[in-house]
Formats: sequence, C-alpha cells, structure tokens
Amino acid sequence: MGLTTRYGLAILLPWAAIACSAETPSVKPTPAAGGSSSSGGTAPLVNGGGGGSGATAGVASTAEECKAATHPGRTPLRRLTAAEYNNTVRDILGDTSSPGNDFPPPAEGSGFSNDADAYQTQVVDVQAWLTAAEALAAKYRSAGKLTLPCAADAQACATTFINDTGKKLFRRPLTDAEVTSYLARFTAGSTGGTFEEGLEWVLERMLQSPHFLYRVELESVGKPAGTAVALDDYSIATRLSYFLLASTPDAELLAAADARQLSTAEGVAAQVTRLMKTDAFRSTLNFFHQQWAGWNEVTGASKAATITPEWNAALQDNLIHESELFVQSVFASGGTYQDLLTATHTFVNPTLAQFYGITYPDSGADFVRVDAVPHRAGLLTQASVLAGHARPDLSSAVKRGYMIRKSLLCTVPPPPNGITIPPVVKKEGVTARAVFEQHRANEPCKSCHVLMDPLGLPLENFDEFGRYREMDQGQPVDATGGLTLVASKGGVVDPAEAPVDGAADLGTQLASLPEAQKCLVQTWFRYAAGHQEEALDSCTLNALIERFASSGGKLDDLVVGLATSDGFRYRMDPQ
Amino acid sequence: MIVEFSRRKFLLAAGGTTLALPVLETLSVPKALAAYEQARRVIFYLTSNGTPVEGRPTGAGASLTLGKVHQGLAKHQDKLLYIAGLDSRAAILSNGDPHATGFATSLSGRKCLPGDMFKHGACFESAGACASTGWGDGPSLDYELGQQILQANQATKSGPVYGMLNFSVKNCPASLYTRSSYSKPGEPITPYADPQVTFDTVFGKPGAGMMDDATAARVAARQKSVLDEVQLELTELQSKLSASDKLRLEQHVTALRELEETLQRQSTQNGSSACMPPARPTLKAGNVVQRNAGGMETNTNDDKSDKLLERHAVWHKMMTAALACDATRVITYMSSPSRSDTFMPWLEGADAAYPGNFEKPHHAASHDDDKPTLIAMDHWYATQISSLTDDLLATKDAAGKSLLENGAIAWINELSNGPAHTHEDKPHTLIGSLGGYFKQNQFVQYPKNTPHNVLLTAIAQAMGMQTDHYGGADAGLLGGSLSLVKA
Repeated sequence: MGLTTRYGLAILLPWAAIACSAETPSVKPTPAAGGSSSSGGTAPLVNGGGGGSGATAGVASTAEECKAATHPGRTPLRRLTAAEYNNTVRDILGDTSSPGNDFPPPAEGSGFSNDADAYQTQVVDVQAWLTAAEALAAKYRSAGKLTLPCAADAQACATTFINDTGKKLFRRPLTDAEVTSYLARFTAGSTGGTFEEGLEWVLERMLQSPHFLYRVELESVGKPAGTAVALDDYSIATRLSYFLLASTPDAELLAAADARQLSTAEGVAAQVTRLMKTDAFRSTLNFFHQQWAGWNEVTGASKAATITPEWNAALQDNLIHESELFVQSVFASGGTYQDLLTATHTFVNPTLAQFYGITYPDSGADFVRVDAVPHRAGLLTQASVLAGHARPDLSSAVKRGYMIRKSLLCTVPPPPNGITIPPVVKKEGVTARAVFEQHRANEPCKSCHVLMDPLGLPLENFDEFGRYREMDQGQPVDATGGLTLVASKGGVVDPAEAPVDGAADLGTQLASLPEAQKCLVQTWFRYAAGHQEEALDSCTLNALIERFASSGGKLDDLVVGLATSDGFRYRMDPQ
Repeated sequence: MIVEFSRRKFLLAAGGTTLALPVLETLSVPKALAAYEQARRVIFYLTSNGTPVEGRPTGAGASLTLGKVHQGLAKHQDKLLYIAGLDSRAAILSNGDPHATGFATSLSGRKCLPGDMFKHGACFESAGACASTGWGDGPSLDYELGQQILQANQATKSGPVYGMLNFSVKNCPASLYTRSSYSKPGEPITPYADPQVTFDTVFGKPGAGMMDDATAARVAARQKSVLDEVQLELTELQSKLSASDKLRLEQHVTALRELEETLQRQSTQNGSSACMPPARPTLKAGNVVQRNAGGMETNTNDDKSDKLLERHAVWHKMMTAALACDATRVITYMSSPSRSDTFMPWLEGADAAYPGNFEKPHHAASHDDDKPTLIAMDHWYATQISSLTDDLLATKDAAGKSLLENGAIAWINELSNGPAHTHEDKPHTLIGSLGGYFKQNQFVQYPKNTPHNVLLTAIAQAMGMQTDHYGGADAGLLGGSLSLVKA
C-alpha cells in the first residue's frame, strides 16, 4: 500500500449518514505509519469540543494531560514545494529563473498546497529535478561563481566550497562522511575535467540530494516512536524560514542557529518578530489569505453583464492586490481578527476608486490607503471575495455562505447526494435572494443549505461583481441572514433565532464567534504544520486557541504563538 | 528547426529501410511485444462528460451507420469499430463521484480503493454508498503493456525507450478526476503536461546532438553517477526515518531507478537516427488547473483563447513522432480530464450542422443535457481523432509500414450518459485493427451488464499480452465474449 490513502483505508466519513444539522468533525484521526490507519474514531475537538468517549487512546487532550508532558503532533517529511524550491535557489544561488515552474503540480489536497501528504515522487519529478539541477549548476558555473581564487589548492578549496554551499543547501553543517563523499564527487568531476567542472558535479548532486529536497529532521533517530524530542537549532531555523518566508533560512537565521539561540521560545520569538517585517513574509500572508478566503477565484471569473470600469484581467488583479495590501496592513499594525473582518480602511488605485464609486485621493496611479469606502468593512466586503464567490449573472449566497462555513468556521458542507439538482435560473424581476429560495424552503436541499445560505445572505447588498446595491431587480435588498448551526449561537436552524443584518453586522458577529477564532487558529496550524490537524495536535491547538483568545485575537501574536508552540519546536514519530 | 539528437538513438534505419534486428528474443515472448516488424501500437484517447445516445452510431454487425458524433471520423469508417453496450462495472462498484470513478477505472478495469478523499462533486448514482473514495486501483493496462514491452526487449537491448508515455492537454493536479493511469494500487502516474519539457525529455535537448561521442559518454556517466549517489543518500536516510517517511523515500528511489533505466535505454539503443522529431514546441504547460469548492475548473482562460487548439496540435505531433521514433508503443492521451470544464469557443458558427451554446463549458452542457452542444463538442473530438488517424496513416515506421497498420486508437469516455452520470453502455470506439485482431467497419453490441474489462482484455491480447481477463477479479468484472470484437 502506498501513501495514497492518506487518511487510511478504514476511515470512511459517511457523509450520507451525517445529518447536515450536525457540525461535521474537523479533526482527523492520526494515521499510522504508511498511510494506513487504525480505525480510531474522530478525536474530540479541543477545549471541550467533545467528551472522552471519542478520544483516541493514548492521545492527550485534557488540560492536565497536556500540561504533564510535551505533545508535538505527527511531523510528516516535507518536500519543498515548487514555490519553495524557486525561492530557495533564488536566495542561495541568486537564480531567478523559477525552475520549479516546470515541476508537476502536487496532488489536489484538502489543505494548503504545502500539504506534505499531497506529494508523491515519480519519474517526472526526479526527471524535473535532474534537469533543473543541471541547468542551475551550469548557469552558476557560467556566471563564474565556481571560479574560486583559492583553486590552486584544489582539495582544500573544494572542501571549503562543499562545507559552505552544503550548509546553505542542507540548512545545517555537513557531516564528515558527507564532506568526504562530496569531495570524492569533486575529484571524479575534475579528473579529466576542470576544477569548476568538479564543483559543478558537486552542486548538481546537492540540488538532487534528499537533504536539499526534503526538510529532513533527524532528532527522532534512535528514540522510541511516540517520544517527544526537542528539535535542534537548525531544524527550527528551517521550520521558521519555510513557515514565514517560504524559503531557506537567511544568513541571520543560520547564524542564530550556529549560536544556539533558537533552543528557547524567546530566541525563536525574536527571530519571528524580525522575519515578519520582510517582503517574503508579506508574500506568505498573500498566499495564506488567498487560499483561506479564496480571493484567487476572482481571476478569470466571467461575468454576463458589462460594467465600467471594464471587467477584465487587470481589474481582477487590482481587486486581488487590494485585498493583499489590506491584509498586510492589518498585520503590520498589530491588528486583530476583528480588524480583518471589520476594518473600514482599504487600498485603491484610480481604477478601483472608480469601481467603488469613490474619489481617488491622490494624483498618481498607485494604490493608496483610504480610510473608508461606504458600506464596506473588512475582507468579506471586498470585491475580490464577493465577485469570486458569485455566478456570472447572479450574486450567490450559496457560494459566499459555503466559503464562510468552510474557511471561517472550518466545517465542510457535504456534497449533494443522490439528488438531481434543478438548474437555478435568473429571472427578470426576481431578486437573487428569491432565486435561491427553494434551497432553503424545500427538502432535500434545505437541510444542507441551512449550513450555507443564511451565512451568505447578509452579503446580498453586493452584486455578482461585488458592487454595492440597495435595489435588486427593482426591489429593496433584504440582507438578513443568520448564524445557523453555530454552537455558541445555540445551534439554531432558523436564521431568525441568531439573526444577522447586512455585511457589517456579519463581519462583527463572525469575528467574535469562538468557533471562528478557533477555525482561524486551525487554518494557520494547517499551513504551518503542512497537514490537517489530527488528534495528536490537540495540546498544541488548545494552547494556541487559548492564547489567541486572551490576546484579543491579535494576528501577529498568533504567528509568534505558532512558531513557539510545542508542535513547532518538538517532533515525534508516530507509534 | 530540426534538432540533432545523437543522445537519443532510435531504432530506425536511414531512408526507412528495415534494420536487421538481433534475433535473441526468447520463444515465450509474444512477437508483438518484441520484434519491431510486429510491433503493436496503441493510443488511449480519453474524453469526458459522456456522449448523448442521439449522437452515437447505430446498426448491427457489418451494418454500421455513423451518428452525428462519429461523422467526424467518416473518412476512416473502414477502420472503425464501434462497441456498444459495455459498462464500466468497475466504476459502478466504486464509491465516489461517477466522473472520478469512471475516469480512474477506464484503463484499469479495477474498482477504486476505499478512502476518504475526493469528496467534492455531486454523487448522483447511489445515495448513501456514494460517499468518498480513495485513489484508483492499479496497475492500469497502459502501464502494464509498457512494462511487458520493455521486459520483452530487455535481452536484445532494443525496443522503445519508454514503456508508455502519458500526455495531458491540461496541467491538472493529481486527483481521481485527473488520473486514469496507475503503476500500482493507489499510485497514479503523473502525465507530461508541458510540451517543451516533454520534447526535451523524449527527443533531446537543443545542442545535445552537437556533442561528440566522448562528451556524450561523459555526460551519461555523470548523470548515472549522480543518480546512483543520490540513491545511496536516500537509502542511508531511509534507515533513519519512520515507516511512513520511509515509504515516501521508497517512491523516490523507485523513480530514480526507473529514470536511470530510461536513460540507459536511450544511450544504448543503436541504429541510425533517421526518424524525424517535430520542431521543438514553444508551448509550455498551461496554468495549473484550479477547481473551486464545487469541483469546477476556475481558470479556463486557455480554453477561451486558441491555446487549447494549439496544445492539441502540438501533442498530436508529439504522439505521432514518439511512435515513429519508437520512443514508445503505448500512449495515453488525456484530451480532457474527467468532468472537464473545457470551453470550445472555436465551434461558435463553425459548422451549421453542429449548432450549440459554446459560451458553456463541456461539463455544464452535460448537466444541462444540452444535446446539440454536447454532440458538437464530441464531434469535434472525433475530428481530432480523425486528423490523428491521418497522421498515423501517413507516417511510416522503420519497417516501412504505416503507424496504424499494426496499431489502433482507442477512444474512451469516462461516462456514458452525461446528465445522468451513468456508466452503463459507455461509448467505445476503435480506429485500427491492432494487427488484425479487431473487426473493422462494424457495429458490435454487447448484452446488458457486460463489463468493459472485456475490451481491455481484447486490447491486451491484441498487443501481445497473454491473458484471459484484464482488471479486477470482482464478480461483476468478469465475463463477456471476446469473439464479438475479434476479426
């Protein structure tokens, strides 16, 4: 059996058996080695999310159990993603050709594209790495970077190159055996060839080495399975840099590892604070929130009507850039989850100012900050998200509600089973709200759509382009909805019992929901850990959720919290 | 531009004359698998979203009347065998979205593995049982055929470089919806999706042919040594890791070994290089296909420009050349992934006999049961296959025979009836007799409930594989008369 039944053969989530009126479990049982799994049930969600009855035996989840020992979760071996590969060779070799763009895409996963379990290594992958390594090494040589002033003493000079370059590429000092082995390769390459050729052979192999392509952690070697082991400084530097920068540790981080400054939470926190100020971290924020809020779905989203400014790729890119700048600004100002969903400021260029119907406050053409756009507050009211979750001809409370339920509340509504979906057709004189009415009124649609539609309806003041409207099809917009099936709101099915009125109210209410805060923590955890949360991660998640709540939902503190958590600073091979 | 490629020495004689082959093959190896003159070639041509019954061929036996879809292949009717009535019973036995299971079982004839993956998409067929699924089971027929061909030629150090080649028009992340070829249970094969990378891999990088023999030998030695040494690093590392991480590295080691064997075959195949590869494509892989929560493709811009047309043309050339150069004898061409949201704007107003709404992607047309649009789109695929057939007929192998003389194209859809998402009575079309094995210009009707494994078995036999049944061993997958399709 391969790795491919990622969460185990025995685990079948019987969607059809789950009434849609129940919150679906979002914590996966921990798979055993080899991808097959024990038939352990779904673990209790953190913080009293379930009783002891569903707990996987031996997995700590209560406050006492968590306090009694260190509990890191499973740490699958992580392969560099194509983007990480590109960034890494850019930062170490100065190569900006992005060779990873030629690599085959990873498998479609349920998590982020850095999900460790989405990677299988096949012939096309190793062929691509061979091609990339040959090209990178050849270019490095042509650029004269392998012509070293010390080459007169070839062996000593090559040894220095192997140690220095190897340390950057493997993100740790090389062992003596490795130096010997690579020196032998240098000798083979330079015999009958040149000094530079010998180094090219070395570089080519380093770029195909598992110690480069994977983020190898050897701390568990020789320890019994199930033992929590502290990571060494180099492993922590690597985890930090790929988490925050999607690239290799920079010189300062490697120096901090050399000086053993990463063995304490304080030492790690200091580096996190530094790294969060870099451009690379801003790219990470873009990447994370794009996958979280799905704003990339606006790219190429076709629309039926014609508007001014023209609905085209440039406008779609502008909308995405607005959201990127907004998210970055919230983080940079030490903002909270509340700010993310309610802050009134945003960023516009002249085109977006026209799109939003405001005056562009500057004379140039750049994006500038504006303190408010009428009727808008927070990420959910930005057109990238609104237009990306709409139909070509209609706003869609279903798509918007689905996104909120899935991304903000971490519950995936099941696909429709065994029913034929009648086409939903736009009609003149009928509001978008009314077009989808049958989803909410009739079975078999109703029991599942109650998970989605009431969360999306408060956004009805925004049309399929994300433009504000007070009238739809000649009728006043009804933007009432409700926080249905949310435990802290009573788990009601009738939206009127947990009412929400309009977009601003939606953002405010969502941000204060414990479920939403927990979900954001879980989502960041998935990104940092490279896998879906599992029972073994309960202690780390518990602590993070508590910290997030007591910080008032501070986003930068959540990132520091993740990087200093047990799950991040320790590892464990599963039993 | 003609690219020199001395590194890739194909088993071909200058001027198309027959090259004397070493006759060392063992008697137990079917000739079709080994000897060049007998070589069988097959292209599995995959399309999706089902075909309306109204557009399919009708008839009985030698009376074959092409429907609107197959009119696109009318000029090759004398080489066409239409097979009606076969079910993808393996898909019916699987959990999961019928699109996905239909695609993943097309070439394996094995039901999908259990699992909790691939939840999105609608499940129409069997409420309750239709939950989630694991990967496809394997191996699939294309892969196994390739392996047998390589083994049969091992002793003589002849034969194709690749057991099989797998090409995809779209650049799709791996999922049950996008993988029909498997090397093992749960191990899907990643297809080549980048025409330029594929060209460089299969036909040689620009300039490679300028090397003298000594340089070429040194390059080969360097590649071999790096792959060997990386394998040693991997093996050493494996011994330190947990069982699940060991498995990840085991796949890596296996892949390196396969790559090494491929490079080895490339360097040792002797013969002169008379086969003509196509010009090096300028086209790179398309955007990585993204899907929204409902499973719909969201970035289909390539379709709407003429890039998709260009892509098909490039891959068609590559397929023909790969067969002519004996780079491989088995090709799987993913003309579209399952549940494809392909747009075909070029069909708008192209043919009055084939009207439709081409603002719609293929999958949406299927859900809307928009028969004119579906028929026009399938007809377009038929014309594509017809033009590929033209190319295969016009291109001679080193023995002087056309590539189709001992070959065939097998056109397979992941669904039968699109709107209902069924797997009963899927349309199956063969162009070419595969060395005289299959009937031609015939309409063959199988009785109800016959698994499409019978067709996979027939293709396996025609290719030279010694088997009485191909695919899974479940009760529903057995049976069906081979003689109905055999000439």
